[in-house]
Amino acid sequence: MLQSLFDGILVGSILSLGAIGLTLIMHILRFANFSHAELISMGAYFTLTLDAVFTAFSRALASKLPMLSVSISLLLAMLAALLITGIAAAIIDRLVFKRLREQAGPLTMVFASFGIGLIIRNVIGLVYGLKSVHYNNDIAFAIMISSDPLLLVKADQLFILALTLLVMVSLHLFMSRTSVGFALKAISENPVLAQINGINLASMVRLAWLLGGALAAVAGVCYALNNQLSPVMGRDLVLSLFAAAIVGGIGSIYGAALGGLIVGLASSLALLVIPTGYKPAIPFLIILLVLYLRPNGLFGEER
Amino acid sequence: MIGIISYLAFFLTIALILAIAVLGLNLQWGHTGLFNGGIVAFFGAGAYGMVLLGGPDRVDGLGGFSLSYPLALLGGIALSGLLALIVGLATTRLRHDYLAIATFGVAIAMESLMRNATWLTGGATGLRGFERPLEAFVGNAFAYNLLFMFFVLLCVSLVYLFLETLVHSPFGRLLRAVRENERAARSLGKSPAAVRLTAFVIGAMLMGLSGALYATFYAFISPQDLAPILTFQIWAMLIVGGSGNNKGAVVGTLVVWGAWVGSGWLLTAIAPTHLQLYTGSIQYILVGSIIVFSLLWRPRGLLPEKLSTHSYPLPEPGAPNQQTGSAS
Amino acid sequence: MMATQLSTGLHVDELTAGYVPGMPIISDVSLAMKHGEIVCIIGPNGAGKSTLLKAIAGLLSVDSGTVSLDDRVITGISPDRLSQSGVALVPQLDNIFRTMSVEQNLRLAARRCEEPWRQAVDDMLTLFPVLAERYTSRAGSLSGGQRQFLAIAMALVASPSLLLLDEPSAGLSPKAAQEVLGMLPGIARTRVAILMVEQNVRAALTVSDRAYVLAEGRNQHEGDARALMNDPVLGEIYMGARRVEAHAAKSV
Repeated sequence: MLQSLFDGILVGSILSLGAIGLTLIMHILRFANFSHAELISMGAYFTLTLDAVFTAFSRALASKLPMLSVSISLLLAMLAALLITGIAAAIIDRLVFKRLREQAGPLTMVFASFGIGLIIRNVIGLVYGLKSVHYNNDIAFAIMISSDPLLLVKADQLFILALTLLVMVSLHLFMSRTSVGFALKAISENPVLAQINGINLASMVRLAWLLGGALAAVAGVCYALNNQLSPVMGRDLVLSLFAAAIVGGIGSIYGAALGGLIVGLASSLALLVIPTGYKPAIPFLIILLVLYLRPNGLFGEER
Repeated sequence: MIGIISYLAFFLTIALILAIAVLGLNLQWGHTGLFNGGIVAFFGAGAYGMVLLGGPDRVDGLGGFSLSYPLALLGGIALSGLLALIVGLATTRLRHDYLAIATFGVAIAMESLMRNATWLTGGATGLRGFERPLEAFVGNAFAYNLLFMFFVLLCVSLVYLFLETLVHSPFGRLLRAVRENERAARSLGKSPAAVRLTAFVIGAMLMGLSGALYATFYAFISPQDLAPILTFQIWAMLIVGGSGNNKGAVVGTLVVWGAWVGSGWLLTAIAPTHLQLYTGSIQYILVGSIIVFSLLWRPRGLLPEKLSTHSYPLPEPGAPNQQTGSAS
Repeated sequence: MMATQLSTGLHVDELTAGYVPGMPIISDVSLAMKHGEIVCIIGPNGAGKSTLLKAIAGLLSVDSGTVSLDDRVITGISPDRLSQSGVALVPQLDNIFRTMSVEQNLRLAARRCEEPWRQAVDDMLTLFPVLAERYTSRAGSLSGGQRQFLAIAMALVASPSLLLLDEPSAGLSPKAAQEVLGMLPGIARTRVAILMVEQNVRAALTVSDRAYVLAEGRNQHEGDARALMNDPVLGEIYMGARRVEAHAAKSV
């Protein structure tokens, strides 16, 4: 039970990062982006490549942080990957979604996002191989925090929790203290009003993609540290991300963060009573439940 | 010679079976503007439903009611319809992309069910031992396959005629009104949610028919037949053919299925042994590219929709300064 | 032409615009006004009054015609840039950011000022003392009148030369409506041109200098506010529409 709670919070915090970007785009551009989860895979794999490049450049960078399987070069790689993934997200928007927005309705963007997801997923498979890999092959030992109730925790997992917390606090400060943060919040609450208050829609859309891509990249690295890298890691997460965004109410950044934790916890706790094979279906049940009971999400405003 | 005819009959049978699902999607997406993200689930419901109802007795699980074939077929279709009703009731009143999310979720839930609920679906091995109708009576396998092809052709024709009648009826105009402009539809005194739900359920039942015929043809069904790529293939068929045009849907099916089978054959022939594993990835990229590039450059497909009625404009379609506050 | 007589101010010349290109809601609408003037647009529901304001603010697609402000053509300029160069629109609904505090709303609006935001925001708090009292409250929790004051403050914070008001008294209590409309002459005196659409015709004409009557997307009539108030033809058009509306409102 305690172990399930811990695992749920861990997975939930990763989902939160992914869901924040998803909910922003889903609200500002009015479409469910099914390729958002592929940004998670891209971030994770970009980090893998850059880590190898940095390590080749200087062996010193390969030294591990105390207790962790995370090296300095992996951290640097993640920082660079976060930027690259954000830019990649903005480029995909520029090449595909922006043109479809101008020509057709939001559902055409949903349609295209499925196609883009399929392409990215399989290009990753071609480039990196279909097998799962790890950032490093050392076996990370779990520390027994408590034996009854059982709680096993790896140092890497604590690192993930700290990292996600750090990212979310920074995001909160950005959104609540800076005028660019206000502007982003404003554009997602009411695009017309934001524009007549001098906010440029196109530049905020770009910012939302950059931010969404960067957060997804961090989520990808955390997920890969906790599990492994695989070309289908994004696809396996996409429904949970939507569940988190819907639970939190579309457009609410704080809702998405909480929604991620709720979905992570619910999935983890549900496995105490449901056979493991049904795990992929749990987010769907959560979505259906929320849509029937509270279509605006738990924290969303009636609009 | 008989080999080629036999292969052609096989190719056409599968293509025609898929054409029924594409026609069902055309009713949902092409005519009504509903995005179905989990076609494979409705296809699978029809397939499993049919085999469970019409198949032989099972020692290790539910099913095997050995119903007569027409009843089993109808049962499979009804199961797809029921599934669509459950999803549709939750979503057709809400934001339009919620249907996409919910249907995508249905497909994933369906896959979990197929793989794990051994008592119901036979798990990974699927359901075997289905007796194809009249097979013993015909005897000759080649003749039977030809006969089955004509049966499928008959089904496609009936579905086609049904849909053509439907879309040219007042209800068809209502569908397009809902697709183009919610307010216009409401002003006709109809509930857009009810119209959307009806179209969604009918479309899903056609996908169920397609799945049931597929399972009949192979005489068994397993999770391997219901891979997520099927949904993408059916989308590609519709968008290539021209959404909103039933003739286009059938033509698109033949073209894309031909390209799929052809590319698979070609890749297997030219790829070195150690790369054979990746031919699937290349084919998937192909399907994804067909979808994205068609949407960008040829959104109206090979045979564009012919609009007989006045087309209502979308309210501010994708305009950058669109007021997005109105959740429907 | 009238346009040559007034060198500065707002000039709308034969403007045809709507939500979708090629499907205009307003056709060949013209109007002209000087700084310091309050002009009211009246007409039955669906006449295209709000559409005209949105088109001037750059929110709609213009098929033909021009809008110019102080001899500068502003048609085709994006709404965010227009708002930085002196055009401020207060929409009828959803005119504040409900999830943000009063402070955040004002700071956001003041991003487009040249002067430091603190100075601009302080000026608004002096003008609307009630906003100073609710400075840290969530904007969604304000009363109807307070919301309208906040919306107008957000428009005024960047010292616009043209203020566009869409139904400023809609949904307000008679007292609050009186307060909001009563402020307008004071604002206009600071050389702001105020163009408003108002349901509450009598109250609006009382504070306005001139008015334009719009019906079915076209100019019908133009004149001095006081003269229009006593015009029997206008009463016919407008009061007739009022009765129909009141009836429709009841049946909803």
